[in-house]
Amino acid sequence: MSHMTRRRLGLLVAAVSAMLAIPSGAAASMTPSGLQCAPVVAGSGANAPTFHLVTGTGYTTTPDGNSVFMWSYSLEPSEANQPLVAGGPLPTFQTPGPNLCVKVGDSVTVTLHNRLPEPSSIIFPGQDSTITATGGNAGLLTREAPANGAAPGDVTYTFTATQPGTYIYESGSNMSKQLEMGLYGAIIVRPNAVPAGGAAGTVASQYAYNDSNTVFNPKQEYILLLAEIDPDLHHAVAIGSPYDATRLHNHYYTVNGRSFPDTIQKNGSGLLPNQPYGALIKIQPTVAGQAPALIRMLNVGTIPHPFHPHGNHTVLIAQDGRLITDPAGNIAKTEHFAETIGTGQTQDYTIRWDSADSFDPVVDPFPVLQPSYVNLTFKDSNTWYAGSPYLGYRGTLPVGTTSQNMCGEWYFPLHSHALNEFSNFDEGFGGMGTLLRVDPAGGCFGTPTATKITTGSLAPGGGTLASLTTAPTPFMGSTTLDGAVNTAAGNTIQIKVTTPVGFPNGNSFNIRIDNEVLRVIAGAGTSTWTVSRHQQGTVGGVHANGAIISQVPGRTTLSLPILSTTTTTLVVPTGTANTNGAIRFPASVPFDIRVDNERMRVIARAPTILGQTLFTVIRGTAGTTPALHGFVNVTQLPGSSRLTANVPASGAGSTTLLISGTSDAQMTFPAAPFIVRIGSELIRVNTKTTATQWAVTRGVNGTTATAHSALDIVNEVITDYYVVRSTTTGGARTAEWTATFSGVPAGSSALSLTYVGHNSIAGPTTTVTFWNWTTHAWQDLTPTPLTATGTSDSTVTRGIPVTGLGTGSNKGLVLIRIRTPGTTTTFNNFVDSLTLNYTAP
Amino acid sequence: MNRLMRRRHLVMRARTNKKTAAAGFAILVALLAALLGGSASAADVNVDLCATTGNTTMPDGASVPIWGFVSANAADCTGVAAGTATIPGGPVITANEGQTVTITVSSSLPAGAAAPRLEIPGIVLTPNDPTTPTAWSFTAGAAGSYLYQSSADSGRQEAMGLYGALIVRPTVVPAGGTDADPTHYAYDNAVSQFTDQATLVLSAIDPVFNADPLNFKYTSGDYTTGFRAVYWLINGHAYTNGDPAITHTAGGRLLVRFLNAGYDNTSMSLVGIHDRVIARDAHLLGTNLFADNETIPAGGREDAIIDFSGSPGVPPNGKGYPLFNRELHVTNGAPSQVTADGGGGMMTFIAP
Repeated sequence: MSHMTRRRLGLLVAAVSAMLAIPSGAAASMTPSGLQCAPVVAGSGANAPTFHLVTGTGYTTTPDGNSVFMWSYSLEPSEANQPLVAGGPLPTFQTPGPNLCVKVGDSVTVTLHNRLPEPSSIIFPGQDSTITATGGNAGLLTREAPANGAAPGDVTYTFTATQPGTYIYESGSNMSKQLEMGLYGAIIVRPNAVPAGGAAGTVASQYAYNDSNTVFNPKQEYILLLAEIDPDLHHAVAIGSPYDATRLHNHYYTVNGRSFPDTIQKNGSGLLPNQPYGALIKIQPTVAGQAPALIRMLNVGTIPHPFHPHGNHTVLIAQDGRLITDPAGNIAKTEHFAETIGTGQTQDYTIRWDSADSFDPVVDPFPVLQPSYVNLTFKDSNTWYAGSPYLGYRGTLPVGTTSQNMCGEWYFPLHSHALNEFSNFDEGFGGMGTLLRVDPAGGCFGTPTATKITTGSLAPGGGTLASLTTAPTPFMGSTTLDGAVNTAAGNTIQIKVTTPVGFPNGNSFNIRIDNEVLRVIAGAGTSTWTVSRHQQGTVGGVHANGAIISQVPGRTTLSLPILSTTTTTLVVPTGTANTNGAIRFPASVPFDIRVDNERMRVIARAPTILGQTLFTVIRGTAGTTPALHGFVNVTQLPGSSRLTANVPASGAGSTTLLISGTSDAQMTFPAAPFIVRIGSELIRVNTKTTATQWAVTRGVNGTTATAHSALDIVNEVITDYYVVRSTTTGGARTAEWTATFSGVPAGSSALSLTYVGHNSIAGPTTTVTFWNWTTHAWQDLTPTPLTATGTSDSTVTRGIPVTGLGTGSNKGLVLIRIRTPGTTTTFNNFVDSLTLNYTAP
Repeated sequence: MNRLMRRRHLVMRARTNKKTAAAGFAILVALLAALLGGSASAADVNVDLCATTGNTTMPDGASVPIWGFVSANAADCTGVAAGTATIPGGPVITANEGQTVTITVSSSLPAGAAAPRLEIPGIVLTPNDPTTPTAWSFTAGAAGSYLYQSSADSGRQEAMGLYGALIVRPTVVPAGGTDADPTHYAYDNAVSQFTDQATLVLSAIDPVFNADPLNFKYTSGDYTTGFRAVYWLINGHAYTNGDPAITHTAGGRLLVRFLNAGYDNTSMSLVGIHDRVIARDAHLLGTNLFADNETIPAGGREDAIIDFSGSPGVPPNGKGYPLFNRELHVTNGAPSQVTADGGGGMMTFIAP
């Protein structure tokens, strides 16, 4: 029960969160999410896929801790899909049955070996070609394999796949029992040719049907197979009691054989050894020209299910393996807030997500107050609370939790709207539901969370290149511990930091070391800080020498509610060493804050009166609407504005941004140059021609210039600008420093690093390497080493092997070393940005 | 006997048409229509029904009391002995577009039952006597498949079997049609052209309800003691054996009319061939929808065409294309049983 309560608590408060670092099961070849096709029998012809299915018994687990006796089809044992032999290994039981993927024109063979105590069979609804069945005995709907593998033995079914689409295979024997027990699975038939009008460079398997409008993103192909379970009937079968189908009363509702929240675990999760198929759907915000995701939905249960997506409508394109067309024969798509899928039906949907709210995981997360950590129960990275009910916000994390989401993505439920089915044995939420995960546009990316100079020195100011004459002031300070904190005890201690640069010069700001939040109460501006420990409900821990220290954004709570949409004065507590307040915000104005859903710009702050500070603000900046606010949180934000005119990807006008300056006083952007982000593109602002007109360089730091529209949000990107001065004595002078990326989710793939930088003199060659956590050595990036020379910026992208992603106590860490051995001349190494891109699991 | 009965109800098999003769017939009809002033409607349709009691024997041997509409020869139950209903349901009533249809309903139901009250969802009926109607009239306006039923006793009469199919047929050959007989179209659209048709009225029975229909408590106790259907019927019959019950002209177009007179949403699975759904609730669809699993809501109707031209595949069972209730109501009685060949309930076969 406490198990249940914990999950429910998280769900009720948060709805969602990340599924982190669950070890994979046997299915090593599976991708973390998406449709998984079963292997064909070794030796199958190119156009004659063969599958050996075995019926058998096993158990499925449910999120409330129950386990239910099931029957299912499984593959013959071993990856090689070898026939069963006496005394040999038994199949790995799985439910539902394996996904059988074939293509049009294939001669498909499916053999059935029956280990159940009664005759069984397979029918193939929707396959309209002649089904040839040999072996076994004649049955009602098709030939059947006798009970317990008895003579005359196995049945072989053969048919030609003639029409692309999504289909069911299921038992044709004693159906009211065998289908309830789990004898079902999916057949995917793909086109064998690119349809007429298909885009150049596409392949047949990117189309759901023989129509170019059914193109989908092949990395986003999903299957949702819906079923129900009556545990009492299953128990009756398990113990040999009479089976009365008229007593059917479902208590569990499954997607791909799992009930929510298990549905969002990875494919092949070791937690669910007999339920290999996950149902998490991952998409990215719509990008022009990008094909949508495809959801193949099948209802193998006995009742219709009204399936409802949050966030965006689904688009129905086909039913029962047939495209739905208009009288002229053209595809007839229909959008659905919820659509009922009948029993035995299949339906194919496309889905995309359009960001109507200009969602941004960093500066425009969904505005939901975070509850106090002390009111929640956490359990390491399996927690169900993300820091924000709608995620998208990467705030301070509790001790023991390294990350609550992957990279600022957020989640929608996708579930049966018959809400009794959105439960596990009447406990909600659960059952027939999964999540739709929206990753940031362009995928996940990160910037260093800490840097450390190993050879050379920090060079504040400094450069002359690329119009950069001064390093932008960091939005938030970041440094490292210079000496370990060896005790978790104590309320007030002193720590030494590598540098105080970038942090406020005044005391009483919050910092974070590992998962502990601390408050600097003395020593600001120096390298020795007196800190008050375990703030914001966090628990003290020990911290290693070199641990990352990050500044926590200013945060406080309104002292008085805002009862007018025109009030421009906010009253907040000034704060003390031990309480939040105005002193955690920048001493100099302007800066941006968020109050509920409204953004504001603080343009003046008055001295303390009676322990309170008055902020004078511009209301409703960045396109938000002034509203009334209660005693709610006030949070600091980086610069943000909106475009006031369209900007093309290239050509005339592409290097000038016109931004809103009326209610969005652009002043909280730093002096040029600095980096902004619009959608997935990074743009360097070189010059502010006027306050609202900027001269820019497009598509920097490895991103691609794309067209943007008026009202698109322009966000300042808080990347650090690194200038490291080489050693100044001796022979060959060297600048060497390391950058740490943290919080990269376990299981992330396709890691790549984009380096943008140069040196102040022409001679030296900068080499960028990564730390191999397996060999414990610096190693070249792939496929060729990353080197850069010259006095103007080089932009280089290279891959990082998975050995570059730390595990265990180094979980989520990627270390990058930038080393420039030089000449006898002192020089500076400049890195405009280091960006890590990856695909989160 | 049983099989014959079932065949009669399941199949309205049309004759194969010889196109030349049919074309000549069409010209004759057109000439006649012109002479008669353009009215294609022939005589009005008058149907006399008697609502009466009876018993039906289920495949598991149980005898279940039922009510049904029986054709009467007069506007009352004269000549209809009580207990003569053999299955739930009533005769298929057929009318042409434009005809005036009058249905007279008399009753020999047991004491306590209300007088049957006719309704046909989708059609406005005019009672001949608004206070105590026993006959209703309407003009068959739009072609399609309809359910007639008695709404009296809060639906309990319908649950006992007082329902039946009403077919309204076109009177002119739609544009593009290749068959000159307008009755070989379900709608005024060539897509509905057929060579054969099967009218399938779907329903379900809880024998505990049927034993005492006027006093049964639907929600008594938990789900195991409230209304719990255990027999699942097509045209009043549960599956008994595997013979193909629905036949058709070789290479022809079989029109299947699904009419759900039962209480729940019913998904019918057709294995081995797709049909084309042409209409729902007597309205043509605007899209081309090919399906093999369609849900017919309680009270809903759906018309689908199975096209046998083009050598469709043959199912591996020696009988035909299975057509069965995909909610797995393919058993008989409680505890659920199947027949010797493994079938039961709402199941039939369509010959290849």
